[in-house]
This record gives sequence, structure tokens and C-alpha cells, in this order.
Amino acid sequence: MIHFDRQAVNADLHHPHGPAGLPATMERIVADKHVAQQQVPWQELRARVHDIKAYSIANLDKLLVEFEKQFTARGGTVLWARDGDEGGRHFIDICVKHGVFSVVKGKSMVSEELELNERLAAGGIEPFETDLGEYIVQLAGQKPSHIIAPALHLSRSDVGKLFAEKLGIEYTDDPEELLAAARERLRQRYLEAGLGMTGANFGIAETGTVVVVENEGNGGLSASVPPVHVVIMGIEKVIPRLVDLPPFLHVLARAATGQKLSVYTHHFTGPEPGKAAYCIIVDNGRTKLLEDPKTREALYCIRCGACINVCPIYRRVGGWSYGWVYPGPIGSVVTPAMVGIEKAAELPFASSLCGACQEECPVNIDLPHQLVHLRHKAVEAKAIGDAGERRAIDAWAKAMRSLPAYRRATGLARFGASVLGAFGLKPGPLAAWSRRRDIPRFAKQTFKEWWLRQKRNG
Amino acid sequence: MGEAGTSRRYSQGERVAFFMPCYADMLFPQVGKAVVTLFERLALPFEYPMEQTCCGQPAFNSGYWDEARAVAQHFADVFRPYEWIVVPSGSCAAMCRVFYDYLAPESDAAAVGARVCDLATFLVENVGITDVGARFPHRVTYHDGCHGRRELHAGDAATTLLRAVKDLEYVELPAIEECCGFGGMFSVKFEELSTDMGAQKCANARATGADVLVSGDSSCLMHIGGMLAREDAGPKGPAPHMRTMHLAEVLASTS
Amino acid sequence: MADLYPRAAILARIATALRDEPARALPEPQPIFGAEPAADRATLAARFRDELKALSGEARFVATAQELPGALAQFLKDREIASAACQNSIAVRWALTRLPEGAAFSAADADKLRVAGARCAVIAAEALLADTGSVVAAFSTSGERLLPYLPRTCIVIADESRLHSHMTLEALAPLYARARAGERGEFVIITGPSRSADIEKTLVLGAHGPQFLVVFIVGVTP
Repeated sequence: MIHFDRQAVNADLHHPHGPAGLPATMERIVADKHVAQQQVPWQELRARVHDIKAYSIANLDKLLVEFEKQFTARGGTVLWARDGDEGGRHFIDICVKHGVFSVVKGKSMVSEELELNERLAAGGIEPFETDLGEYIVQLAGQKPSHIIAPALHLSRSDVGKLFAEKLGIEYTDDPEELLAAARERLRQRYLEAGLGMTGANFGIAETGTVVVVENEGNGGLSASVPPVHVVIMGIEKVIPRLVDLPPFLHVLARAATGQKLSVYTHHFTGPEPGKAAYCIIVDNGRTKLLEDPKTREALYCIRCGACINVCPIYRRVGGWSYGWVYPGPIGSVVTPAMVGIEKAAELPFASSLCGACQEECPVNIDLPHQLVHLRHKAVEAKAIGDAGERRAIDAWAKAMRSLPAYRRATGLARFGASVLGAFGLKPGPLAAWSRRRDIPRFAKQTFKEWWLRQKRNG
Repeated sequence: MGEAGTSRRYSQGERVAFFMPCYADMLFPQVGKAVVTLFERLALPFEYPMEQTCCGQPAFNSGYWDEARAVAQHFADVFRPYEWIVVPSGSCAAMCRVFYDYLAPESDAAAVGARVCDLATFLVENVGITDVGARFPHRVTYHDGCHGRRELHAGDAATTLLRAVKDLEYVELPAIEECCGFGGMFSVKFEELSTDMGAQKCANARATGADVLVSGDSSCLMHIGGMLAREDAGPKGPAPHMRTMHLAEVLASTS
Repeated sequence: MADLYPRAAILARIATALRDEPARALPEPQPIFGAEPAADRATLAARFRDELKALSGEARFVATAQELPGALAQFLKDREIASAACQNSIAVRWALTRLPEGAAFSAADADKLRVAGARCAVIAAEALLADTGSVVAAFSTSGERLLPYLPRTCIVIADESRLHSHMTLEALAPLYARARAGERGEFVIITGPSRSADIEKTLVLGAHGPQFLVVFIVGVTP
């Protein structure tokens, strides 16, 4: 059962601890992004990538079949996995086939969904995270707190202490020295590993090309140093042609970090002699998003993190409050849909529906509408709202459907408010309201009553 | 669907209905009186259909769509005869213009809902006036409610009207695009988040040095105003006193 | 055989889910920017240089192809780089003709340890994108694929004819065509030296890939 951790708002997350204070960081990122976005015809590009994604999702099965055909024609092997069990089994089979004992991993949110690290470890295979943030978080035994910046919640001194303890180096909090230490350790890993795993930002149906976008170079090294490259790709990543890619590249980096382009845009086009390439195509609940026409648009997501960066709720609670792999607005949509509304019914309600997420989204996904739709699904599934709430809503609806009922309810509410006020009583919602806010006073005469009196007096 | 105004011009003779948000009816009737004053001053004929109650948003946002549809149907029955339905709330206007169609696509309620506009947009884009003959000699800042801003793309109608008010000194709110934290039931179900966001909004408002915080949404003002009042009375010492007022009240003001 | 079941199940689920989806049109590929005034080569070169500099990379200009080998040899001498791993392309081999014997080796057949041991890589650019200071390169052997990542310094050589204003369809068209034709390996768009901001959002260069990226452009002066 996923509970939204609202207590995190009391945690130190949103008070500055050094320059890593979450809200300040997020504000800076959003400001940088807006500068970068003004350099391109941003709204036009948004519309274009939205349309390409709409076509791609509408033709998903055909495009996946074409991708498989082309990837295979160029010497790769495509495997399909409905869930973590199947994905893990494929991965281990590949390792066994190629005699692999250690694996280097580029960043892949899908691999987090599948709990791949745990599955590999159980199978006796050591997976090493190579993305610096993921490497830090792995060393610390924690989960990533943001999809683009996994170690956002740690300050430099946190990392310094961690490295001193786990890597046996002398304590330093200088990011350059820390990076050098990580780089040295990871170099060895790349060279020794029998297999490298990456995710995929895009899969090109036309040529079976796998596109990986990154800044550090660890994706390139994970894919190219070991003799075997395994790509883990969600079904929704496939787009039709290579020529469809440039608009996505132009919005992705700008929305994610405010860069014009990420440092590396890899296009892997098939294993060369002496190498092997696999692509594991993963469902893991994505077809559930597809099956509901109102959540289908969530599959247009290109995992840039922009909605997360701008969300006022995320800024106050951080990435672990959302209970699963994806935080923020996109997490609040995909998690209930993928793991089941009964298990994550609270998430769509942990939002003021301000709409900033859609405004930032480079693909213009209608996240607020999807959130309110999922609220409805939660109510229908009786996954949220107790009998008391249902009775209250029912009574409210009856009061709102006719004038006499409304007037009776208004009178009753006014009377009730005065009684509560007289006794200083604050049941449930009133107590919650008035912890930091004064309660608005019930007017002696409602507008409707005033108007009626006015009319009577001419 | 969903755009701020149809940009169709209002012409004399077309029937205009005034829709008063349910919570404002009970808690802030002065907003309604201000709209009446304003329309009378502008010699804009309007009607207030007595049978009106609510747009249904509380049920819709909470996921109770059957109940929301029933209330929306009542709304449609009441307001069907009118070409223009004006409401002093971006939030209610968005519910009718955008979400009635989401709730019941291509229904009669959706068709009626499409004729709803928020007060500021109606005045600026449909009636075509920016100077409503108001006077309000104070320093004012404006909070832009999220629904008006993002669902309706209501743009600058409200600030346009404020800037035309005589002797009004307008100062822009820092981080105007950030949500105040009200969000309907969110304000009590996730109270700590709601008030943390509200505290930020209050701090931004006070930073402008304005005497009054104005908004087109009484719902936001209920939340922000409640926090300002609590802060003003608080133990931390005197805070610069700040009032909250609805846009209609400022526009109705002539002294 | 065991594999066909998940495949069939997933595809069937997708097809069923999409039964109600209306037909969508795929937009025709269009330029990123509207009609741009054609910039002269010197302006493009300057733009490329400035963008790359902003990313902490470096662009150097050589007037003629004849001068390139000398410039490169001098550069390596200045940086005290004794050996370089290189791409097995005609342009790169020409660029290295002034190096001392044994100073460069081809990465085409080299194993990863040898490439990892090299302090410097030399590769050729298929295209240069001025708007973002990007280098586009393509590799078709496993050893050459390691060149832009393993060594600490990456040198790129390119004739000025490779300069494009940005990621236009023309700039990438040849590589797209080669991919369509079945060429294997990797082509990559490199925009500056490798970087990370994962420690407290502080930018550090040389995360895993090269710390230094130097592009030699022949035949134009900005």
C-alpha cells in the first residue's frame, strides 16, 4: 500500500542545508530552463513532439514490431517482458549465456521498476551503478530521490563522509576530488564487466536504433566497453523514424536541465563484430495506462523531470514521498495506473491541481486532467473516502440541486457554525483548517437572502 | 473550449446572468453586492436567477462525478436561457467552461458551461472596457488563481482592469505563477502542504508593501486571508497589516 | 519458444487497448527553426567556437589541410601527450602524419585495455553543429566506439565543409541514410566534455568521459 508521505514537509528537505536546499535548487533549475526555452520556438516544438508521440502511441504495436524486425536484422536480439519476473529472468539468461558475473549499469528508471539490482544480486550477479548520482545512492544503500538527479537530497559533505567510509579515501567535500575517486573506481568496473546495461530514451522503429541521452558518458561506456550491451526499454519509447528525433532532442535537455543539448546523444545501430546486443522490451503496467483512454497521454512522457522540478508539492516533500519509482506529478499519474488504484489511491489527491506541471511539460501532457480522472477512479473503486465522506457528499449534492434544499442547508450550516463557534468546537476539517488559518465567518445574510429582500422591497 | 473569452462581443439586448459561487454566497456576500454595484454603474442589464446553487466543482475535484453531474445538470437548467453567464471566480468559470465537457462530453451541460466567463475576462474581452470608473487610492498587489491562469488562459484581464483604476498603485506579486495552496479539499486533507504554500504566498504578498492583496477568486483569498489574519495576530510581533479583497470590490469602489 | 508468449500477450493487449483510438497523422519532418538567413562560413565558425567554449571545450582553426598535421603534432607536444588512439579514417590518418613513429595506434582492432590506456583519442567529425557547439561522429568497430569516452583528452578533426548552423535535417541526413542501409555500430552527437552536477548541483567536468575536448577545423578563420 503506497501512502503519500506528507510528514516529509516537516523534514529538513526544504530548509536550506547548504546550497542543496530543494526549493531553491528547483527554482534555479526552472529559471535556467526558461532562458534556454526562449532560444527555440518552444510552443511549436511542444506541439510537434506531442503530435509525434500521439501518432506513436496510437500505432504502438505496429511500431514495436517494426523496431523488433530492424533491431534483429542488424544482429541484435529482442526479448519481451510483461513484468519484473520476466525481465529479470531474461537478463539472467543473457548473463548465463555469456558467462557474465559483473554488470555495469547506466541510468534506467525501468530497471528500478523491475527491481533489477535485487534480482541480479539474488542470481549471483553484481550490478554496478555508473551514473554518479545513482552510484552515490547505491553506496549509501538508498533509493534515488529524483529521476534526473538521484542524489539531490545529499550535500557534498554527506557524499564526502560516504566516500570516506565506503571507499576508504581521505575525507574531502570537494566535488572534483569526489568525482575523481568515483571515476577511478568505475573505470575498473567498466573494463572488468562482462555486460553493460542502459535504458533507452527513444527506440527508432525504422532502423531499430536505440537512442540514449546523457551527460556523464557512463551510458556510452556501459554500452560500449563490455562485449555485451543490454537495453531495457519501456514499450512507450518507440517513435517512427530518425527524422522524428531532432524536435525531441531540442526539448528534452532544455526541459530537464536548461542545457541546449545533453553532452551525449548516442544512436546505437547494431552490434559490431565481436559484440552482442539485446533489447528487452518491457510492459510492467504500461498497457494499463494505454487501456484507459484518459491516461493514455501519460505514455507520451519523455522522462525529462520538468513537472517534478516545478511541482510545489514535490519541492516540499522530496522524491521519496511518492512510494514508488516516479515522483512528482508524472509519478502521481503512472503509479496508481500501473500498480493499481487500490494500492496508490492517495497519490492523485496529493495535489492542489495548480497545473504548473502541464505548463512546464515539453510534450504538453494534460497531467492535471489525468489526476482528477484518477481521483474519480479511486472513488469508483472505493479505494478512497470512508462512508462518512460519501454521506457528506451525497447530502451536499442534494442541497445543491434545488433552491429550497439549498436554503435549508444554508440555514442549517449557519446555525451549525454559530453553535460550533459558541462552544469553540472544531471538528475534523475545521481543526485542520484552523491550525494556521483563521476560519472565515458565516455571513449574517447570504447574497441570495440579500437579493431576495432587495427584490421584495423593490 | 477552455479559452478565456470567446472574444465574441457582448451586444446590448443579450441576456446576461450573474452566477455567484456557493461559498461566496455564504461567506463573502459583499463580493456579489460589489458586482451588482459595478454592473449598475456600467448600465449593464443582468439577471440573478434565484434557483442557482453551485457549479459542482467540490464534488468533481473529489472524484464524485455522479454527484457532480447532477449538480451540473441543475446548473444547466437554471442558466440555459442566458447568452452570457458571468461569475466572479476563475475557478468556477474553469469548471463550467473546461470540465463540464470533460465530465459529460458534448452534453447540454457542457454547452451551457461554454457560455460561462469570469468577471474580468467578460469586462475586458467581451464588453470591451478597461476603465470601469473606479477609484481605489491604495497600493495593491494581485494574486492570479491557477485555474484562471492555466485552464482559461485568462491572461492579463484582471491586471488590465486594476491598472485603469484611478489612484491605484499596482505592484506585481513576486512568483505570481506559484499556487497559493488552497486546492479545494487539499487545503484540509493535506493541510501542512497547503499552509506551507500559503505561507510563501503571504510572504511574497507582504514583500510588495501593498495595503491590499486582490484576487479574482474568493477561494484563494479565504485561504491566504485566513493565514494573513493569523499571522497579523500572531506572537511574532506586529506584521504589516494586509487586507484581502476581491477584484469586484475594488472595481465597485469609487471613493 | 518460451519467449513468444510474453510478446504475443503484450502485442495483443496493445492492439485491444487501441481499438478506440482515432487515426493520427504523423507530422512531416520540418526544420527546427523557420527560414534562417544563410550565415557565411566565418560566422558559423565563430558561433561554433563560442558555443564550445561555453561548454569548456575548445575549437582551433587551421587555414589549410597542409598545416593540420603540424598543428596537431605541436598540440600533443605542448600537452606532453606521447601516444594517441585514433579512428581508422583517412582524415585522421592524414592528420597524424607528423607524429613521431609509434605515437599513434589505430583503435579499430585494439582491445579496450589498450584504448583505456591511451591519454588521448583522435577522431573525425561527420558534422559540426554551430548552434550548440556539437560534434557528430560515427564508429563501426568496437574499439573505435570507445574513442570518445575512454581517453582523457578527445581531439576531433573536421574540414569546415562539415559545419552546419544547427541540427538540420541536412546535417544528419547522411548518417540517417547509413543507419537505414544497415550500417552497424554507433553514431553520437557530442556536445562538450563529459560533465556531472550530481554532487550538490556543482558542475564538474570529466565525469566518466573526457575532460578535454578540442576540435581542429580546417579551411576557415572565424
